[in-house]
Amino acid sequence: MYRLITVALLSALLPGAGVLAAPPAAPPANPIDKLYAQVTPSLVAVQYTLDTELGRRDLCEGGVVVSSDGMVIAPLAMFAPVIPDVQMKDFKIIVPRHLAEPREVNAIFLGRDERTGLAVLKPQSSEGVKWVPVNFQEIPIQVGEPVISVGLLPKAAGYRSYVSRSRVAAEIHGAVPLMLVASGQLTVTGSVVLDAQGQAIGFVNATAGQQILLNDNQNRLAAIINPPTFFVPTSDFRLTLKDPPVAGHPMKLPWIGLPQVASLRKDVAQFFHLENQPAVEIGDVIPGSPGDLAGLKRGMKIVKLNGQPLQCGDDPNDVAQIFARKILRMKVGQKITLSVLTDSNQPLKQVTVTLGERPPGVSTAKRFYDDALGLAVRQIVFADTYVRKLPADQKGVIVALLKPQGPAQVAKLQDEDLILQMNGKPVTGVEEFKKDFQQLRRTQPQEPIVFVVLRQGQEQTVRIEAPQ
Amino acid sequence: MACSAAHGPNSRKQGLLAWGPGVLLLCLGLLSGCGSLPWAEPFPAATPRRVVEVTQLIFPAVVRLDVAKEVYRQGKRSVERGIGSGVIIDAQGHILTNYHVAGRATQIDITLANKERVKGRLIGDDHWTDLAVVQMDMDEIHRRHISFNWATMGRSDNLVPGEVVMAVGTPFGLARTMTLGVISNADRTFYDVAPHLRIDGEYETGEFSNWIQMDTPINPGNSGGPLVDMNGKVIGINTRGGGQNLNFAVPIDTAREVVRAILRTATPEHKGYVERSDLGLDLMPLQGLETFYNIDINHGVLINSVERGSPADKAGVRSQDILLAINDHPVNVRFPEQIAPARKMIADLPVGSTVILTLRRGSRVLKLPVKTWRLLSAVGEERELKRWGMSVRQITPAYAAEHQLDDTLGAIVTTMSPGLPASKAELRPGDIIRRVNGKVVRDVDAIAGLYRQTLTQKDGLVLLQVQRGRGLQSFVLKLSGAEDDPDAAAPVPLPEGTAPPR
Repeated sequence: MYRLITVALLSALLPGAGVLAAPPAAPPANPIDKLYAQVTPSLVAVQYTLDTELGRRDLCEGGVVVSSDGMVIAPLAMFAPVIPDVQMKDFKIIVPRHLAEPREVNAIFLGRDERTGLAVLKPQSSEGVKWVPVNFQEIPIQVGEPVISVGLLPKAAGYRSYVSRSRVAAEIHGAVPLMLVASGQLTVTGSVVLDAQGQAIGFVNATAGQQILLNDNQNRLAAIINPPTFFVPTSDFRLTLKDPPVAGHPMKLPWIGLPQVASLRKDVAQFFHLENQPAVEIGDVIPGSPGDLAGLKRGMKIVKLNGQPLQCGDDPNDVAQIFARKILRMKVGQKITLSVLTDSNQPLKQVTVTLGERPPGVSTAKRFYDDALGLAVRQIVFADTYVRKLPADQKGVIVALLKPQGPAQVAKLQDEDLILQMNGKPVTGVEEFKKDFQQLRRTQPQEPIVFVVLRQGQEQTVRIEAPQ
Repeated sequence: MACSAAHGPNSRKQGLLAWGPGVLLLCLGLLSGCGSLPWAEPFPAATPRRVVEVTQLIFPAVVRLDVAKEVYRQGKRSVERGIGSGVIIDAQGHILTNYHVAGRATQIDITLANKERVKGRLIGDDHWTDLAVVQMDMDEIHRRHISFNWATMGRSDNLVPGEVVMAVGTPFGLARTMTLGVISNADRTFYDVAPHLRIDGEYETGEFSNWIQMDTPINPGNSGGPLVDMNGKVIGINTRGGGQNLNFAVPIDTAREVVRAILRTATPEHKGYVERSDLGLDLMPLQGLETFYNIDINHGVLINSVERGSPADKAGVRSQDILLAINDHPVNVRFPEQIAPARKMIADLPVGSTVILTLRRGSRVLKLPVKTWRLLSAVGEERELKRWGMSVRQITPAYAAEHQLDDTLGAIVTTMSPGLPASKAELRPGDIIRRVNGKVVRDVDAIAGLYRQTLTQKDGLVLLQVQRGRGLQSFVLKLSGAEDDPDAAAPVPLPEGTAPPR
């Protein structure tokens, strides 16, 4: 009954979107039917269980099979780098079936690819499943060209595929070098975009504000109520298809050590005689980073990368983001040459930088949770020391989660507090914290625990009543 | 005034003996400035008659204040108008009110109880206690033969919950409004919910005394008006309304000291002020921590944090030390209510004096000499840089500590005028200008000087090096039609009869 209501709702929500509720029994009669039938077997949903200290929740979004062994790409948004890897469990590839329950295939998470904004999974076993990959093509796309997108309806509609016609309305050049705007509606995030000839030319990746979950329990149809209007061409994610992440080996990303790079505004560029030359200004250099070792300094203006002028987007302020993304798509150990202006009257200086490896982020940081205290802590990472102006080798653990109304929250411990001491003993890392904490609870179960934390540059003493 | 002069600090108990209820209001209404009823009891019954008598006594001393205040908005120095209350406290026409009513005032109009209106001037202010002192234009008072009454300040150290009190003021502009209630708590602290209160989100306040909490209705416009006991004496200045009958007044004992300090330091040219000492310590009550630190109950106070670069930091004081005594005077803070008095103990030390702190560090007891410095707000002096279209503020040590800045060099952008160079260059409030045309900015005086130099630049291009977050960034201001404007960046002359800010 619910499904009937859902289909009725969908018909009302998607006027002109060409919703095809059931695959035709006879061979497709028109090109859209044909394209729909061609792509449907390649569309899957990807799901994992987010297993946090406070509870479990299944998250599901659309994905596309890209290889005959079942490799699937999906928007990175659902696998955001701030989510600890250890909290993502029970990966599944959900294969929709006509007039039958979708088939759930256990999957392996290959990893995130921040270069392209994708996550990649593959099935643990392909037994009984025939994977039909989409062959993405790098074909120039013209404004005005008609396009067709095919994606999956939410779980509430049985993950059935649906199709929508649209037209390329504009090109946007920004941090993502080329993004295309559709004049009509596209199908849900995680859909394939085809040209009139049926060639797969792009992917509907997640954009800010777009609902991506296909199994949102609060609003079952959230993913299609506000349909996407942007897609990226194959060239944007070709890197992932050629060089996908490897399971258990987080992708090594290049790092130059310039955390504050700003696009040079037009009037500042004129002041430094850099008219019509896109440039970025170095705002900060991490000591000991590749940029620092190469001699880059605050205030220098980068004008060229490997002899090529920096690229300017539609908005001049995008230069810095485009530059950062270019670096991100390079290799660790790669040598690059930056042409920098040190002073307005000086010739450009050539600086060669050997790209290092980006320091680990929070997704791989070790964690420890104590339910009685209602407190999860995690290992300190480079970004934590940078924002707090602390030395890179600063010891301590970061408050990662506070259970609502738990003793730690009631005692006014705060998210992102850096715990420096526990009962007078310096905290060095998560393992030591865990060991000392458990010993304290064993030997002094009735005694309060006293933390010294660093919060906004000031030390604070926090006394937590012994959990009973 | 004669009748009130007989009431000393212990007048409640003495008064009960000295004055019988039969001694009626012989002098009431005959003597201007009669600040209290001619009898005093510890907690006189708030009979209908008593309430009326106290109201009649206090009304003539309460004024309405219409204030124009100095504010910086959209890159310009301008004024903001508001209405508040005040209470006349002496024959010289001094009026006690709140800082958030009359602090930074450039123009004050005073409406007396007899509905006469006179000009006033700001004598001094103190945002730390949210108090200000205003004086009526006494020449005008004499010239126009205007009479006025003044109230007597009582005591606030012996108030008890349940005692009946009244508030008088100008809620929503409705002058001479009396409301009645009781003291709900005579020693209220907000330490647990908001350890550091701010006025307008900026100016530190409520640090050095606890509050009188009462259920007497208070509304906007009541601020600065008196809270009066049933002896007709002012026991507090109505300051904060918390809604649902939770209202708060600054105790008169705090106000009395502030008034004295302001009147002592005020000159015709400069505002009066309260000078306080600072050591750079954030104190924390020890309740529940005594066992952990192995100390006796109600013995010492925990040093929660030490401000970087402060006198205590330089002297080697560390967070987690227990401060036991200052110059051998014990400092004991077990409960949150004891925090404000401990802060006041430090604030009352002579500025620049060397004091000996007795500290407990682990099992050791240390004595460290520390030279106090003057307590400064995180809110620094503000300047208007008119042609740049922005206002800037001094970076004080407290601001630098709060924002984790490495030093106090530069000037903070506070506001900008839309369409003028700073706004066009996309500067933002909170940016710190470190250099102007390559020259280091030390403080607001320096930036004002550099600003003036740029006004005569032929090309009209000003290169700013700005710190935004942890990054440095260049900005260029394009000044159109550069011309000499020597008065720019200097304090704008204030209206006649108003003392400039100190």
